[in-house]
Amino acid sequence: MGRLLALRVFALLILSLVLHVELVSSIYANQAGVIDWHHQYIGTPKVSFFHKFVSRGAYVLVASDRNVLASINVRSGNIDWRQVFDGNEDILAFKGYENTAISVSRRDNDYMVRSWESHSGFMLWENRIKNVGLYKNSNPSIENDAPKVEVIFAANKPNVLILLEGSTVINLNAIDGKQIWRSDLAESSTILYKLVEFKEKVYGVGLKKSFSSYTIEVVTYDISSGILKTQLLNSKVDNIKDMIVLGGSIQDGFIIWSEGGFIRVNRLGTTSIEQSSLEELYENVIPSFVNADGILELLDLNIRSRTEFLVQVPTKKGNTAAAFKVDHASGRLVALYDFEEKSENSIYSATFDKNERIIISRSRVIAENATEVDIIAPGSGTILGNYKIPYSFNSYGELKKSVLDVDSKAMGYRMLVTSADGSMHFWKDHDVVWKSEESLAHTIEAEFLDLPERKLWTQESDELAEQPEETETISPLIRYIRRLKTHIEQLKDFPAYLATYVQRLITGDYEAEFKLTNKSKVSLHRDTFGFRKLLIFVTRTKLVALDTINKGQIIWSRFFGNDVFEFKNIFIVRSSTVKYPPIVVAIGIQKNSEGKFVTRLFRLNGLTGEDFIPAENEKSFPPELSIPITTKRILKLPVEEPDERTHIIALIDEELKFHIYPNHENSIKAFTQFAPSFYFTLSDDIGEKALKGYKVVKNNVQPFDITEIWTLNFPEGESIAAIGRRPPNEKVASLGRVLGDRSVLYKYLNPHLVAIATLSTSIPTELNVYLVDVVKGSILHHATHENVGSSHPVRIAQVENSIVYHFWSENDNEKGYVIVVYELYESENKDQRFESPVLSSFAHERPHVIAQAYMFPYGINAIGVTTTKHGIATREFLFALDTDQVFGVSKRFLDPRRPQHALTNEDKEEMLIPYDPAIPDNKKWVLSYHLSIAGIRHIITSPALLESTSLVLAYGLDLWFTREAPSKTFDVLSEDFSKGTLLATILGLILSILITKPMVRRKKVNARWY
Amino acid sequence: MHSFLHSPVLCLVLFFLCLFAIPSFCVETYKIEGKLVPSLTIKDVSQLEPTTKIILDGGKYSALIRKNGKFVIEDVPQGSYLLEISSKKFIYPKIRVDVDSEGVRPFVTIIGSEWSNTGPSLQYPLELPARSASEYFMVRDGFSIASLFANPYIIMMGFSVLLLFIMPKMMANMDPDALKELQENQAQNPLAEMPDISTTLANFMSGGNNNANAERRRN
Repeated sequence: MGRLLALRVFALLILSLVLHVELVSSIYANQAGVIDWHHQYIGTPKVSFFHKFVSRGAYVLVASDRNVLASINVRSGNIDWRQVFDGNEDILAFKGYENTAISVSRRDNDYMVRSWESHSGFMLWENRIKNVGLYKNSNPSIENDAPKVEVIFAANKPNVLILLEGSTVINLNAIDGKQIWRSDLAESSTILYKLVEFKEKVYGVGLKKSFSSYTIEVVTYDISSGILKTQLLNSKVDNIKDMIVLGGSIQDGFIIWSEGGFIRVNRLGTTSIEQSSLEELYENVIPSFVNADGILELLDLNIRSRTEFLVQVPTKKGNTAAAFKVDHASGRLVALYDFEEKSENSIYSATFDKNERIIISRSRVIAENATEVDIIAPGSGTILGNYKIPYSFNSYGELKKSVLDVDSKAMGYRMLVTSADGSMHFWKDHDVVWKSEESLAHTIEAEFLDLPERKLWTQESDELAEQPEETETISPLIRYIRRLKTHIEQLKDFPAYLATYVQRLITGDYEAEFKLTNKSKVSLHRDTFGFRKLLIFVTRTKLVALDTINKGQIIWSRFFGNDVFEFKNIFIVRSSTVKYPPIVVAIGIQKNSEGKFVTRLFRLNGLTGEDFIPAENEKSFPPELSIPITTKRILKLPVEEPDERTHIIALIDEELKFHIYPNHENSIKAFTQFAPSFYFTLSDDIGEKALKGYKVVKNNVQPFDITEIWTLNFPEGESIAAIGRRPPNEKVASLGRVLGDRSVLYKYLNPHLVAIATLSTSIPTELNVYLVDVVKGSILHHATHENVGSSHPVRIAQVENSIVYHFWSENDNEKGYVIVVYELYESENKDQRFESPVLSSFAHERPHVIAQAYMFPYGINAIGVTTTKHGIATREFLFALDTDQVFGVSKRFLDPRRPQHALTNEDKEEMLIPYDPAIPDNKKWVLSYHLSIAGIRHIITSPALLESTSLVLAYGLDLWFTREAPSKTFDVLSEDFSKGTLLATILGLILSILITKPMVRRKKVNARWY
Repeated sequence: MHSFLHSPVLCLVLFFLCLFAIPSFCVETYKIEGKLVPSLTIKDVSQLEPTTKIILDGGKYSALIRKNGKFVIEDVPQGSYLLEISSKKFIYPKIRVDVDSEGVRPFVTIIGSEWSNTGPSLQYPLELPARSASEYFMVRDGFSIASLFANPYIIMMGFSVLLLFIMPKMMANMDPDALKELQENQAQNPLAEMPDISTTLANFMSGGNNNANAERRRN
């Protein structure tokens, strides 16, 4: 056995060596980060705090809603380390402890407690806690959103105390994670919310259901033994928000709650209750509370064991707040500071400086382009700072959350602020130190947008800008003069053009002119090779456009949070043509005033992000539209409406009505012409059990009716696991595949072919792959794989006449990742085509399918395929690996014609590679080299103007963009090509001719003489 | 038996027994433990990325490594698994792990070979050294004199230059009879009468004309 293996290793080695020579698509070390760029994201912070470590300074630790733990450098905003959890593991708590940080997350029904080294991100220990809440009957009447998980650290012992699911308290050793004790609250209607520890006792504070409201219950544990006793407080609380728990650790802890017209305070461990009347508060203590118009809210500032807190009250004009404190000795409330009424919505955060003085920040958006931050020491009432910070309200929306810190070294106040779109902003005093567009971590869809040519931009000031009536009257002479004027105007750009030309000649860098150096604004236009495009991202509530060059700089962004609940799709309905800007349509849903969902469409100029309002057709083309429907499916149709030449968008609602957008007369006319040849499928999402084909019934009134024309029920227990569609507007260079003997196999190119993979629920799991013609719902090919692992997802992709899918095989003889490639041909025989000249879905012809399977070295999350301008360059399949990398495999390796015998001359002529059961794990094929591109869910590609090159974007959590040349850059000189050497050689040759010419002539003359 | 099942209390007891017994008794689970150890490629395990993961069967079970390189995968039922180490910096061998009542037995395996083909068995708990560091970049061939001389064209040029000097000397040292024979042979060779491209080119370059050449030949 060992020898066999050794032989295999040897054979693989030889093979990989051979292949190295001809098929390496990898890059050189100095190209890394030059043609590609990578944006790392973490998502919107759920929990964030400044963590200070003596020798390493401060950094921000974040747990995000994308279930990422990260440490962020406060100076640069770079991510020092990051741990991305699996999608099904939610982070519930994250807290710093000395030089570690403790996280609690939930996976399935178990809780994972992990300790991380805070500067390196290494895991120190983990403890899986099972059977939590087993004896608990859930109490649905208490809000689910209130956290029922809390982590605290004992004051005098290296103990971590964790409250889980409002019932279980666990004491772990902070050094090794070993459990010291665990206490499960026996069946009762109490849910614990808070933990406080002081004087060797742990207090769990919860609410117990009584008749109409809740009563506060305190559960006391002994820190060493975990023995508990429970005690009810004489109290009545309506809502968990009306209660906060403060203090603990080195001092006593207190419960503060509002009840009736009072704020009441209980010192934990006692039954005594102190109370202050709200009326008195409003009238005498806090002047701004006089205008109160609503219920007061207690705000926990979350500053360790301090007892300061905020009370916020809405007023008629806005809101106001005041800082309070519980006096340790007396246990009474003390009013500290009145923040006074402000009309804008404020957010607060607090910290304390090295003198243990508490400092509170109040931040609010005061204008479209500015926020104001007040830094106040409420103890003394001094205002420490008042800063106006630039901020784009249109891009980020309201402020949501802030975390304050005192920079003791540089004496300043710094804040991490989260805005409504999910982005992070880091401010220090007056300045924005860095910001991170975390909304892109929630990207729903992305599209490439072509830029217009520069030439056309200059023509805008020329004859193209003239009005139609002007065109009729203008004389040729005037037009000529106007043209001349434009050219003279353009002359002033000539020196700059010459400079860039020379620079380009020397450096070979075609992007230099777009790089932001000294010019403040570079116009948006296409570059020579078409490498420059815009990437339009639609996130939950925002549209963002990035430049593919300049490291993905943001060109524009627009926040729709107030108009849109969640975006669903984005379409580029018109690309840049001549002087018309490209148009983008974003579609989202929103709740209207009656609580019903409406679909909203926004039409924007793709270059600026502003509403698109055409000069004519203003009425029929509103930039915003609301339709009172909930959409089931949104499609971009391959027809244009005649007015503005935009693609028509179809919206199919829950009641299976078919709406089109835009819905003016000409658009409907264009659609009704197209409708007879339009077929589409519904219920083709992952998890569905049947596929249904539909057709629009012709009636000229909106909304159209649709009818079901076929249903394809998958066998019992099977549901869709993955779908592969052919990319729209795909360019196929050759209709056939030329074989070694110059004969041709004709490709089966059916645009209506959809590849569907289903997984069965039976054990062992079965994977079925169906190739379905969606016009008539017929299965053209069907394959079954037995013993497929259900834990790893199935991925499928279709391009030209090939289909590739990847799954985990549990078979006895081939355990591992398997990739299968199909190629579809019109016939099994060479030089044979279908009889009919037109490929019709209604014909009975079936493709001839050839397939091959290989073992794949990695698990994958997404498949993409390179697209080039004419489709001549060899395709390359791009795989988003489990290891957060992008792996490129040439079509030549995923080729079902790879011979399983020794290569014949014909095979060599066809340039086939001998079959090998495994796709080699060649690290040179990793396009993203050592980068960690976390959470890739999609890989999209777009052609450049160069046939050799494809633009590639991988997104999900991170963004990564590169240019890939699957058959190498055959149409550009390679970077290695030295123009200097070429020039030197030519010069050398000329010189040598000049020198030898007289010599030769002399010799010839001599030869004549003698 | 019939009456036994009809007793509601017993039924309840049985029901609860089933509820709690199934997770704790019926599925016997095991722990797979191991350690990534330093080797020639890694001097210290802290060189590993903190995100290094141990994956069983394509993600069915997984665990992060700890700072000391140790890893534990808990709650693994009996079966035969493929264990991978997901690291960007280093390449680790793929391991087949058989878990059954006898315990945990690891073997080396290779992708593309039959699963029944187990490689050499490994010790347990696993101690895995990195095989090599991942090389993602192509190495650019820098300019060097040695590579210049290794170029076949340069070698050919050098050889012809060498011949240029040696040939006349060889001719001079040749036996006069042999030389005569050689010249006769050359005369018979029809190719000798053909216009020579290199001469034409040389003439073109030097500005001489073909007529002059032809005249010379007649002479």
